[in-house]
Amino acid sequence: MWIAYLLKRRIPILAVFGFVLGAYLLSSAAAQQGARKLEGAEASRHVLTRLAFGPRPREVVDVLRMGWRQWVEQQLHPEEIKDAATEKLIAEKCPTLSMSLSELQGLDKPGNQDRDERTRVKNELRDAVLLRAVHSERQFQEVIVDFWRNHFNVDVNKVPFLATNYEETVLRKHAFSKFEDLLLATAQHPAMLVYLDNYVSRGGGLNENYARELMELHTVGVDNGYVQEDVINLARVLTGWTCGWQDGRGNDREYKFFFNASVHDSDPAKVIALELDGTGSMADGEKAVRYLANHPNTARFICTKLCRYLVTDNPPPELIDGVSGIYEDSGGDLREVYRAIILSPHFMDPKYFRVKFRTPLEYTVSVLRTTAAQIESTDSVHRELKLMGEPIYEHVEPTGYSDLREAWLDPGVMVYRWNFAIQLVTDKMKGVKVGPEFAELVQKQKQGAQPKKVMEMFLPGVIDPTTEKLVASTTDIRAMVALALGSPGYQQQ
Amino acid sequence: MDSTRREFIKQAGATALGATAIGTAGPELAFAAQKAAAKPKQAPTLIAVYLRGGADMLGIVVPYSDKDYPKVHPTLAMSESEVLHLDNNFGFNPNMKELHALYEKGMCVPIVCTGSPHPTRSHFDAQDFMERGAPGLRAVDNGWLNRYLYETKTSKDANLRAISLQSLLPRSLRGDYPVLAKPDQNAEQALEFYSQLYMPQMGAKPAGGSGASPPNLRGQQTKQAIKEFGARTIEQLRELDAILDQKTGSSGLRYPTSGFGRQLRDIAKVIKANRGLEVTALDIGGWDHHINEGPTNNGTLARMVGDVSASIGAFTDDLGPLMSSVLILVMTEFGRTVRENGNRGTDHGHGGFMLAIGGGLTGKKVYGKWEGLADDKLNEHRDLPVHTDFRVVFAEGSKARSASTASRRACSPNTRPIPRRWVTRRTRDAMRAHEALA
Repeated sequence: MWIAYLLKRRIPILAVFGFVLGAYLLSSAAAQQGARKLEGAEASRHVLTRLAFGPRPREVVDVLRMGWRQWVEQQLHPEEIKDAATEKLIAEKCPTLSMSLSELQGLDKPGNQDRDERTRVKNELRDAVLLRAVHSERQFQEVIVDFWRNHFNVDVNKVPFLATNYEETVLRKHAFSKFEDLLLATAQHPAMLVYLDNYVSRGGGLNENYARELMELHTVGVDNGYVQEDVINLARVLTGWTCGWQDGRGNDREYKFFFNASVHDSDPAKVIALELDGTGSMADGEKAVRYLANHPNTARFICTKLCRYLVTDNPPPELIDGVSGIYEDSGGDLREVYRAIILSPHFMDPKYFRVKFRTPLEYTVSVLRTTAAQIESTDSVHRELKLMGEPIYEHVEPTGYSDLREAWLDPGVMVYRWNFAIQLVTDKMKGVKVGPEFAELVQKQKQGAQPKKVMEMFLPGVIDPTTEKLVASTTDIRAMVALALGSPGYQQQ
Repeated sequence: MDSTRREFIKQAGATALGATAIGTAGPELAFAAQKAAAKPKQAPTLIAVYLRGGADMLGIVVPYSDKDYPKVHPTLAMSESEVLHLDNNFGFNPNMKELHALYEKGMCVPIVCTGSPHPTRSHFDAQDFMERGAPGLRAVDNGWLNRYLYETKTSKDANLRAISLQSLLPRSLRGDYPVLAKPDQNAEQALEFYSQLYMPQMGAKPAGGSGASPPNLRGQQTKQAIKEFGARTIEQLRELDAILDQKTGSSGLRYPTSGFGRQLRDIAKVIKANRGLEVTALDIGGWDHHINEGPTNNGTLARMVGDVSASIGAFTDDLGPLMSSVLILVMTEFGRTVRENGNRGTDHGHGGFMLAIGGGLTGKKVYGKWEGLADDKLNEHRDLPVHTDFRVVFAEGSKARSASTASRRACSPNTRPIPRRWVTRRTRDAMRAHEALA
């Protein structure tokens, strides 16, 4: 049925009803095939570990009551979810987040005078990412923004004041838009222009860095349908895309993206199959960016990465085919693409339950959520993330952090997670405490029922007799929790 | 020597190294003596040292007699009387006394004008390409040392066959072979606490093993992998910590207190404990000297290269005769511009250098083709050229470790089409996807 749908999809008249039909068929395909799917509490846990940073206490029950499909539908529209508490928290703790590009860049002083400001802005940005991941009700938004944060990686140490605005006005703003709008927003943001050097690229003095990554990492994928000449041509088309202080409204100077026609290379250029006669100046660049966004190789590349992120490290080809089809039919509408993946029979296939390995960020945030941790100061958490190799916004190379098991599962890495768990439960993590509701929840249980409750809270549905036996062998609640958090099952996503 | 091996060496080595203008080496380069030497009792150990940032050859292996040298380095040049004499062309930086003494003993050879055939001047690409042993080939995503370990692994591999004494594995050691990265944290309590959880299952492999994989219900396979890595972490770290905690008789030795010095001191302990350490890699950052390079008078480069020299000097003293089975390869991603810039520094260039240090070298020679610093001999009229592909040195280096052709090829996959088994499953999938689209 799934395959049949894909074949039919190519017929234009069906394409009109693409999304509706697609969603319907995707969700019913498995039922028609008679394949088993995750249900009930398992399904709730699955969406809360894959589409959220792990469940908070009682959340599995909430989702179960609501039905996981409805929860997903809500999460796909983050703008409609109330999240006043998180917004208030961010406004208080991270005031620089809401600053304009000019205000932020205005903090950049010559020499070393800006050191303190630089540290403050950087710290508030990483805090915002962490605190939103832990507290936000819009969990899927946080999960998916983290995907784009790595896909369109910038290193805060290279663009200290610009990254904050990039997070707010590019990634968060466009994570549910069409891919081409997201892509164009990254292409025209000073953070990306500076990070990948396009701002200094000029006709006769080409810098290929951004053009290469735009194709290799952001759109069609490495060596996937383009050659070195395309890189050079794309770099030429994008000459003059730069940023700096410009005249704004009234007498104000404004720091922003602008097109510098005087350094633009306006010779005709061909990028893959797109021919540009060179008369379009800045519009040529926009055309090239939109062309790349809608290239079939891009559809496949983006969808493959998203399926890896949301379903399994090695997604089956028919899933990628199906989702790429939705991408193409919807013009790269990301919300539709996410929905297609989540409602596909593969997402709820028991085969993919807990097959992923939590990255350091996923592990850390999940621990803080499951223990309902109270975070007074985030420094110790950031320090742990750095030790584990995933400090927020500090990936130097444009590839971003990998989400795949093989990138993270090495001998040695477990030690950091074990130490993190031990520190947290023994109250040795400065500024971070397990929450009172968590302690209550466990302590309310009768003595003998505690191990069972701990297993239920931290390792729901996990079949792991070793851990279960060890948890049951102690009366120390902290030891029980530390065992659970450091167990193999808890590393699984 | 089987024919495949001869062919490989000839193909990769002969053109690059056979006809060198000076110090003619022949294709066997520097490590041939290993074969003739009596089989050492100690397992051979390869130590890859990465100078990150692009270390400047002209400040380290100094072409003091070149007539253009003072012109291109008006403020940075060193005179013949300053450098530590190697041959009629080159001398070591004056701060490299220990390495110079090793050179005199035939235990330290520089290889000049070596590097990558790929023209990139990006640190990121160049380091990546080099550590994966695959210039320009982004599809290869595992490190050259890891491929070597994987290709030559046996069921009897020592726990400490490959380790890294830094908390994040260098890319050269990443891949399918599990290499321990020593955490930068006290692990004692955690190992004690979690061993009860991870260790009892050791030996109880899932049914089917690597053959017919069992249905991956509820992520059993993921859990099993985590469990195995956890158990390996505990085993390896316990063994390593026990060795490092020992008070060995190296108190009289003068290891510098730098990170590099401390790492070498620890590696020496592991080698002396004879636990089968075969491969390790470590990084020294900060060689990107665009401003005030300082090759002399205790400037930045002088101090850094002095630390490398003193650390390796202490290490060789510490190991004594055991050095006969140790090979240290010192490398950097690229060289720097031949002309110094306006800030008494140098910018990203192309050809660089390597150092090979150990007991089994056919040494006391400066290796590699050298044509001087005249403008028409330079790469793009600005950088040292690359006459010796770094993969040739890697292959020679691993030759000292293993006679297996496969293992040597693993070091440099794209001197030939990449055999599929050298790339990970992920890469294969990506390649297949690309092929399907093409």
